[in-house]
Amino acid sequence: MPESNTAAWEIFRALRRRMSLTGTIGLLLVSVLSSTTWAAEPPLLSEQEFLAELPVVLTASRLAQPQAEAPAAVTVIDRQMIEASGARNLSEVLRLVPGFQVGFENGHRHVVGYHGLADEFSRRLQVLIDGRSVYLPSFGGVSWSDLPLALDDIERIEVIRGPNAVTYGANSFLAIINITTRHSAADRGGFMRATAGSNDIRDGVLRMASGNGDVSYRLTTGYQQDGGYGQRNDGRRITFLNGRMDARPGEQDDVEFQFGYNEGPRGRGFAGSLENFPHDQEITSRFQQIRWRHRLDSGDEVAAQFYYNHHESDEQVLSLPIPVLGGFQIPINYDIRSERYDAEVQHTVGLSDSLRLVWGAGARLDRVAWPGFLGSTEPLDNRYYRLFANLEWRVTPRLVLNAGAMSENSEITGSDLSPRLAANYQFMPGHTVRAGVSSATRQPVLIEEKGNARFCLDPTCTLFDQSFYSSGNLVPERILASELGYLGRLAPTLTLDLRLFRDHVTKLISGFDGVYPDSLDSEATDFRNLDKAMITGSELQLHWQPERNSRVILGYANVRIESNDLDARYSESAPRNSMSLLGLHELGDGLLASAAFYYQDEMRFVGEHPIGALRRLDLRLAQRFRLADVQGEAAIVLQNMLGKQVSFNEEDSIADRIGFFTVNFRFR
Amino acid sequence: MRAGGGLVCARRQWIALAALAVAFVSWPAAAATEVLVVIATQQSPAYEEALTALRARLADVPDNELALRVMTAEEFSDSGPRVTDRKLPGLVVTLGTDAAATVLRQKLPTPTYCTFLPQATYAALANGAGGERARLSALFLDQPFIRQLRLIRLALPGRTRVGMVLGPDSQRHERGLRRAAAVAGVVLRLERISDEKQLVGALHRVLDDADVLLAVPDALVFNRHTAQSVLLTTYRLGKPVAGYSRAYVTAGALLAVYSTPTQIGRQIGEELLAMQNKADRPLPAAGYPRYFSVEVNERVAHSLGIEPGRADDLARRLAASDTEDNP
Repeated sequence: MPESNTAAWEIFRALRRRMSLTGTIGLLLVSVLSSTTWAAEPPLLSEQEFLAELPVVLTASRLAQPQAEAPAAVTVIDRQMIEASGARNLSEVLRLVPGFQVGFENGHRHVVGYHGLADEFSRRLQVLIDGRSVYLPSFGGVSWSDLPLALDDIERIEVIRGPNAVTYGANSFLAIINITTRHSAADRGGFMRATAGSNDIRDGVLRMASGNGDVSYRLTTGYQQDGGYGQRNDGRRITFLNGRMDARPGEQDDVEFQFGYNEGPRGRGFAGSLENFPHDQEITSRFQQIRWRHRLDSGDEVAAQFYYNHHESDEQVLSLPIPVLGGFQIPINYDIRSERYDAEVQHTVGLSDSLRLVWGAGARLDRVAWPGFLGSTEPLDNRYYRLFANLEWRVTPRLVLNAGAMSENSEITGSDLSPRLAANYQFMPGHTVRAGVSSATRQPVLIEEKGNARFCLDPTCTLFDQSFYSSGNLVPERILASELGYLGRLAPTLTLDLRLFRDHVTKLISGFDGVYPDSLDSEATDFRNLDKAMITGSELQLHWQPERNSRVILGYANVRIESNDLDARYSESAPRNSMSLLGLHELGDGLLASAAFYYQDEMRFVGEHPIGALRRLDLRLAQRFRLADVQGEAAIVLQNMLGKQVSFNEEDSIADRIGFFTVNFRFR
Repeated sequence: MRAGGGLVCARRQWIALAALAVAFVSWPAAAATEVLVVIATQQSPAYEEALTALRARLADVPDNELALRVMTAEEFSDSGPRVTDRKLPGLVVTLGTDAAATVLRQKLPTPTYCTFLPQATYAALANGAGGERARLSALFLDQPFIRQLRLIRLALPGRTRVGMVLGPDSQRHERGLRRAAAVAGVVLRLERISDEKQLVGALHRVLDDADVLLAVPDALVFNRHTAQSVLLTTYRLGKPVAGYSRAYVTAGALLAVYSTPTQIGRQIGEELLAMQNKADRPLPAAGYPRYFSVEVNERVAHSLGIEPGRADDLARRLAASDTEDNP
């Protein structure tokens, strides 16, 4: 208690004692004291509250581009869609995006591709979680199972269909998946989820969130287990933990801190294989991230972020006895450790009412230790720098131009420039057309540039086999994408998004069997900028929402790939036609039903066998309930109801029907 | 029997009270009535603006019998009329909270019309004035809930879930709010907090389900100091805010219905003219502003992808729905 108040209390007590003598004077004094020293009464609301001027909080430079003015096509997947889809894995949700293919190479290696060109490691998509790239610098792509993230913590997913290096940095090549997690103040109290089902599915999530005033935080821990495809050793038992803290140290600053950790065994290998026999792969993945946003008095904004990603796979095995070597067991080292340090600053400036500039710079260090595949026991580094700027010019209230570029420099490939230009014109209220040209690069990953995988017979490395040997000197892949788009509100409850695209991809880095005389079969995989592809087609997205809890979302894509490729590896890597249809409806009294149907024409992932036309139906029925202060939802999900489907490879990636029951509780 | 006797007794008391009330409420008829207008000491063009509009409205009726005398709250404290004075003004009109508080402290027997202050503030002051409430009435500055909710319905027809964070001041109105919501056809999502520190969390929770936030002024929750938090948080969640002042809209709220000082001044003038035309010269009933304006922040609407319509059109349609209530 402040000193003045203590003193006032003393006076008050003294006065109380003398009340009988000097009651009137005492009361008067007390009332004077109380009105000055103690704020006993809450302050009265004054008319000044209605009249006073306020500083402009949402200044022109802080206002985000509405979707109709964005220089790219965007698909938004919100919480309701994630839940209604019945997905247990983040990767599965992306089936809802027009032009996307999702296949499971095994139970924990999920392949997400857009417009094809994806093999087991889909390297041509950028994936960001709260602004942090989770693209792996070792073999490229995203290891979806290794993200320390609960589906329940995701607020929304925005998928930018098309390259966007200016806004999202390197490798924002065919598309960008931008995941936003929930603010830590959004959930207060506890959350629990338990899931059990066929195929050994046992999942659990526990979340606690708290905070007060300027600081809030959340801790989520979870467990995920399943038997993979069930026909082979590809199950997983994953434990993860993540935390997020949001703080507002001052009126003009926001600071966000996040960390995450994911670990556990993933089943690998095949019965009958001598070197890749059934065994467990121990993966740990973790990150720390800090973001800071500062509002300048001018109305402009400065943002900075730093993050560190660490991904480690422990997998040292002895091959089974090899008959041709007299039963000798070859030591195989699959260990990988990849790290990424990334720092970025960004400045948003309102140059005038109609002109806004976003510019910034970033630096990145990728460090990969992969002795078995990079031919070096020492980690290899790649330093990378980028500079970007975008100018948004509102020429008239109906016409918006975006012009920008990213300049990058990598130790491996040198300097490159990726420009972008787009115009959005609203020809009628609620109806916008867009035309744009955008380019981007994909940096080669370390296995492509410096691959050197040797299997040795002894410590001095008498060579048994050489499976990778990169000749190096790769240049980045380049995409030049042009598009025509339309975004319209056909009715108050109906929106339509149409897009015609033409992606010209050159200098595609392809693996091929290079001559390597010392190898067992005289060959080793090498990589070169060998191929090109022209991807053309159209996409459609229709969203009808007659009621808050009744929605139908239709996605369709027609994709044609022409390439100079060997054995049509690229030209057949996307289905000609694909569609997704999600419907959800509240039947009343908290009972929600949803169904998702997916179709895609025949295709084959790069380097794999063809998979036939795919039809998939997922169903979900959920009941919300309330028990005293606890709110909850119980749901039953049936996946792949139409029966066995080849998901990735007809030999060993066949998805069968799966059913699971999930229940969650939310309490304060 | 006892109940019946009590009833008779109660009725007698009621008649006596009513007689007393009439005696107090009516204001002695005289050739020219002195109306003492007390304005807040604080220098603000808003009071002058209201006063100008009040004078202009009275000037519309050239032969009115109202003689306006204006003083600030400070002058009133120093040299204003006192209970002991033999001749008191016929009516005191206060403009603003400061003026109302100063005048009510003197406990004059004169009828007093408190204007240009929030409803909650008037309620608190009138409560403090004790048994003399009968000679009091008010014209509030804030808008009735039904009008604010109807504006949301008109401007955002698809957004029927209205979120509100209620602080200690506004929690008292919860019942009235729920009634207004039922009439306007919206579903309310409420979070109650007792401390400013709980604000950001409460905004997140309420907007998890609600489509739009209605900000009602509260000494704790919605005020000049929390506007930045409120607007940034809601904007990041992609939800619009219906504010309560023009300034709130300029700062970043999507829209607001509010009354300008000129509109308030004009209504005070009309009420005074109406009063002098009635024999017993009763004070008007305490109420909300009749005239109001709507403001829309086009840039914010555009950025959120919302088309709320034109401000003047919304104001006209809102006024029309007011008329439906009071034909």
